[in-house]
Amino acid sequence: MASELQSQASLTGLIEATLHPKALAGFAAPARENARPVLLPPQFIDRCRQAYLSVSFPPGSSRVLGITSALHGEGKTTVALGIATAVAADTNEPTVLLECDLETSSDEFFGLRNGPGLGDWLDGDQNLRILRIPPLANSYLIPAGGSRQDAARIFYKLSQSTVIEQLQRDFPNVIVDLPPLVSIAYSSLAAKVTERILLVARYGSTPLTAIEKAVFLLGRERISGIVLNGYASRTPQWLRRLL
Amino acid sequence: MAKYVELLFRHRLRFLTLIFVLPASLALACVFLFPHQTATTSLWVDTPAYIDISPSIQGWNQYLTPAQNTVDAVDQLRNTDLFLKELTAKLDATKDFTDVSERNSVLATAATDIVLVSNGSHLVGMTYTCPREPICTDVLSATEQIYIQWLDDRQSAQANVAIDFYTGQLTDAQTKLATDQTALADYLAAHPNLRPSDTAAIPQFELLSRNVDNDLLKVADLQQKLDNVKLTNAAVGKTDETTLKIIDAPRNVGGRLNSLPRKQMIIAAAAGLAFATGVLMFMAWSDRTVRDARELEGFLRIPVVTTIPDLALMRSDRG
Repeated sequence: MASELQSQASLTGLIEATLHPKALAGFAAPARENARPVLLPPQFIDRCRQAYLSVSFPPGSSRVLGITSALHGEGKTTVALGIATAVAADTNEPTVLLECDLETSSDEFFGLRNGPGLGDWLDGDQNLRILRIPPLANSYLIPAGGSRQDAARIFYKLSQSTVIEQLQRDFPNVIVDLPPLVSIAYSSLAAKVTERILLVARYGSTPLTAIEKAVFLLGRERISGIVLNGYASRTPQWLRRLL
Repeated sequence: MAKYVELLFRHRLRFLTLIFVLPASLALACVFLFPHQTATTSLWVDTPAYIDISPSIQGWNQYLTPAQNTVDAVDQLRNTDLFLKELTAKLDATKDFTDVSERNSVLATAATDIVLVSNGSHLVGMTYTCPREPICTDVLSATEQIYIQWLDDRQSAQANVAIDFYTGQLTDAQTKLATDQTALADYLAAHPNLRPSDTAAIPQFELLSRNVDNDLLKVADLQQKLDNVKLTNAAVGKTDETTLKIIDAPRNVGGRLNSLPRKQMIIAAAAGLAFATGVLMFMAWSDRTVRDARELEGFLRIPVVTTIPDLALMRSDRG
């Protein structure tokens, strides 16, 4: 517990060091850890922009938005990255993507090599890694770290911590990539992490019953909307308009 | 609805196979499973007019052409038990049936499967498709014979009614003539000195003479009519020959494309379509995944804030 408090107390310093790194003597620019750039099509970013703009945030407060799905493999992390990119580009404010899917590591997606992540930091083992997501200068990533067996315990710690609040001080935009709800036992805790949540469903893949269950677990009032991902309709557009 | 349409387009190759290829295959199989031969015949029909009986056949619609009237008459006739009995008797007499099942099959469908067409005002075409060549022509021949016989019978019946009527009338007229002649003879016997020129002076004599003259005229008139009717009745067969001619005797025209077993093909096509519809319904019922934003909104009552096209498709579009 002591180490956890110590870690959390040093969070502000970590963020400060990440956002405003100091150049070391003899170096032209400060060293900064970058994630691998994930190039998303502009159309994808635009649709993600449409999603976050549809969520109403209280005026003057920072934007904290959770992204989750019913099952694995529905494009939740990609959508979260797309939204983070769109928000960062639109607001020009520091935006952080907080990876909270502790059971499924996204390190490979971001080009990371089994480095420490949020889980390790919450456990008090490692410092918190805050990476910049190129090409935007104001877009950051806090990786979840490697897959963990004790994800439920760590996620409980996260739900009890003030990490989100602390992040909000320096990041006006916090996008939280939550674990898929139906696949985990601690899904009810996900609703405690963020006030507003977008639920990602994959076209032709997510069963309606799974989405219904996810809605039940989160609570209808928490869900700001559904993002229908991977839409690949074969119906001609003119016919779709008629139907 | 959108879900069904989407499934239809998504699995379009399968449905095309089910809707077109399967029925076409079934239809093709029908051609081999149900061998078919077609026979055809043509009749030339004039409006029949019978002297002193009727201006036309009873039931003949004056607003239709002779060909249309004939088609209508044959169409009605073939739906009667009389037709079936006659057809059965005539076909049995040909001894062309190879077995009982063929006989039953032909007799069960012959009446309904004969296609009647009026070509122009006077030409009637009859077509029949059946499994074997001689049967097809037999059915058409028998149908023509039955129709002609039916016409003969009707005309004979009409003539007989007229003969009976005129015979009765003639008998009455002859009786009255005999009575009037007796009365005149008695009057002349009672007045031996009377001459034919005295009729103007003696009213009773004039009346009796006039009665006899009228009776003679009436008897002669009725006798003439009766003779005409008897002549017509005797020539019924000949009358039909003038009003109804078989232009083309029933002949086989082979298994042409338009003589394919259409009924079986339609059934095959309908079966394929029904099967495809059933598959579509089953796929739609069994697919419980998200396919339509509006359906999802309706189901959960939560707005779908955006629809993101498949990333792979977007990347391929860009490429």
